[in-house]
Amino acid sequence: MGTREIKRVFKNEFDVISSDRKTFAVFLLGPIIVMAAFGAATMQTRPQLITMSVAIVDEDRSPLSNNLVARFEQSEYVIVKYKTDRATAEQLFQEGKIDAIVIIERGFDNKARTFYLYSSESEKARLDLIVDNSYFIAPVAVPLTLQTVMIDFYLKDLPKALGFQSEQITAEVVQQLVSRLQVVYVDVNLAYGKDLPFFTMVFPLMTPIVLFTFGLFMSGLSIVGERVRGTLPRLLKTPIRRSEIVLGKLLVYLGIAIWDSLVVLLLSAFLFGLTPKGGALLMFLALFLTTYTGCTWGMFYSTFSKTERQVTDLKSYTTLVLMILGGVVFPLSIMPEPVQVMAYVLPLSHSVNAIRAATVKGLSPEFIVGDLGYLFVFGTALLGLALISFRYVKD
Amino acid sequence: MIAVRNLSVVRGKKTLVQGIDFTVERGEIVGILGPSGAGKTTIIKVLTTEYPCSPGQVIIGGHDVATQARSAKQIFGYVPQEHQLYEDLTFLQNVMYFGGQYGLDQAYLLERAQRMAMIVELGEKLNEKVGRLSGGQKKRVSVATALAHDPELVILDEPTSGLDPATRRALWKFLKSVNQSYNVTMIVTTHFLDEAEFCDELLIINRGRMVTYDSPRNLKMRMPGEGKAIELEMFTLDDYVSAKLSQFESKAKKDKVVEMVDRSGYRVKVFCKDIPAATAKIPHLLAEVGLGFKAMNIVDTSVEDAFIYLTGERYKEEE
Repeated sequence: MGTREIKRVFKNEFDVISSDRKTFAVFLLGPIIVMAAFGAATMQTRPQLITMSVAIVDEDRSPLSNNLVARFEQSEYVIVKYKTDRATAEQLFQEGKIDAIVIIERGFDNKARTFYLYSSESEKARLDLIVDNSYFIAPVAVPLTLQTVMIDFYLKDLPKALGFQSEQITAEVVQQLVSRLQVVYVDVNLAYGKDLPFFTMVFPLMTPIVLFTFGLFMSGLSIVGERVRGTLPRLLKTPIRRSEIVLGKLLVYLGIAIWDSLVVLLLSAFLFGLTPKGGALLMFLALFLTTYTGCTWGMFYSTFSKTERQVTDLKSYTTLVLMILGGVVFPLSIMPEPVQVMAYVLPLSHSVNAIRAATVKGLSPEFIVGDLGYLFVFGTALLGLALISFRYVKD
Repeated sequence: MIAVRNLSVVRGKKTLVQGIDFTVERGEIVGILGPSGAGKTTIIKVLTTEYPCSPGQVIIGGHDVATQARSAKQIFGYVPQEHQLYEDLTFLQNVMYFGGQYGLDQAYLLERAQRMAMIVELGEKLNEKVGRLSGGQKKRVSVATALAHDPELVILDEPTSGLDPATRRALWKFLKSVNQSYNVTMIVTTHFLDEAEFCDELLIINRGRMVTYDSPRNLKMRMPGEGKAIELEMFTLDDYVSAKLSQFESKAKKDKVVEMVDRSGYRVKVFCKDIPAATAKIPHLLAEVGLGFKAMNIVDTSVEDAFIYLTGERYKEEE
């Protein structure tokens, strides 16, 4: 091995990649953008990744319920995003904006006191926890949350509320309290997909990214392929309009997108037992619109890229950023508000939402239609961008 | 058919071509000639609506290419320098696709494709993938593709570039036959000056400027010997002979015997108005500078001679 030869190849390779400014810019900026997305998505998350965002419904509004709310706020496994009423919390929960609802029922304080001080036969204070089971993080976070929240509540808040002074909380008292930990009845209700197979649970996470990437890769090489082959300049000297080239090519990929979506739906249903609870048609639309958005995004890249390498690099980084911000790797609910806004602007979060709603959650169509509409609008906007971009690119 | 008025093309801060004027009549073959980088492809790009002219005007078949590009495109077929074909598709598929852009009926196009395949003598290759054809065959497929919609005008950008001499001649023979059989107007760029003879008119450009626009015959007749020159065959051509030839040229020009001497090879071309008189004087002038020669002949002038005469520059054919 000659070092001089290696140096020559090194210099040549550097010259080649740096001569293509777009590719070089993607090489240099790509990791920064991906890391920025990664950092932004996880910056609010505590050292323990297993964190769930909750809405607390405090119907009792008593000193004791206040203490309990404070305990939730202090828990490192919980991000209290909303303190609201039950109806609003349920709405937020269905929209996927929170992972769980904590409901402290009216009479919580009274029932706890009565139960502890007077009658163990009386009705217990009740704490309801409704947890979104469609993400894998929430169910794991529940026991950890309850462990941290309830122990401090029992050992510190409850004795104080019952009139014990700090110095009175001796080992004996604690022993007595621990034996009466049943003061609060905690009802954990796992919403969505309680008994669903693993495939169904993973389906909303994997399918959007797979179909989107297919669409992006398929159409990404269409116009740039003509450029590289040299057929585009010739084609542009015929009476065909640039917009006709874009739309004609896109139609092919949309045909393939229909086929892909059907195959995914049928194989999942008949081979892997997936039940599209929201209806097969809505499910198909969710899959198709995801691929459609990928196709128009790829077409947009294709209109201004000069080489296949430029498109390939752009596609790879786009997929990574969308995976991070699209709710595939991390739940959107754990992200800071501004990042969530960005995530909701991007199409993949809507694909995940729609497909999850149609499979795991089994929500009614009105919860899915919004996301589908957004996907259609976003994909069509990208198509518009592609048409504008192709019009002004010099070929 | 085509009217080009004061055509200039400026890209960024660079002026690519300037002050080009010419008109083309229906059925003519017009050659755009010039050395590499002269601006031939730029003119083609304007004619094919790819570049705007700034300023200037190009009218094709009554349509201004700047404002009626789509109508102008209906009139011409284009044969690019490279093949620019879909190599994974067949000859037929290529013709059908490119021809289809002109809004023609599929059945008509199929018939045209078959006829074009016969004309370019590739009838048996109609269903062959273009990628499997030879360079010369691809070029013919490219021409057939440009002719598919029966255009009045075909614009060919360096069609013979990269072809061997035999294939070049064959392609020109074919272009001529198409031109004559179908009265198709042709604009052809080339950097091979010997191909000028196939053209009815020549637009000669150099360094982005128009040198002249005339027929090959007129170009030669406009030279001092009205199409004739004296060719001196030297024994050798070294630095000594070259220096002596310079002395001869200065003296002969001073005595008004010759107008120009082309000393590019050991066959030296001498251009003069009065050939018989010069034939008598040249041996004496050469003897005066101490130079002998092997033979002296009267020869026909070529377009290359005209280029050198008009530009004062040697023509460089290499790409």
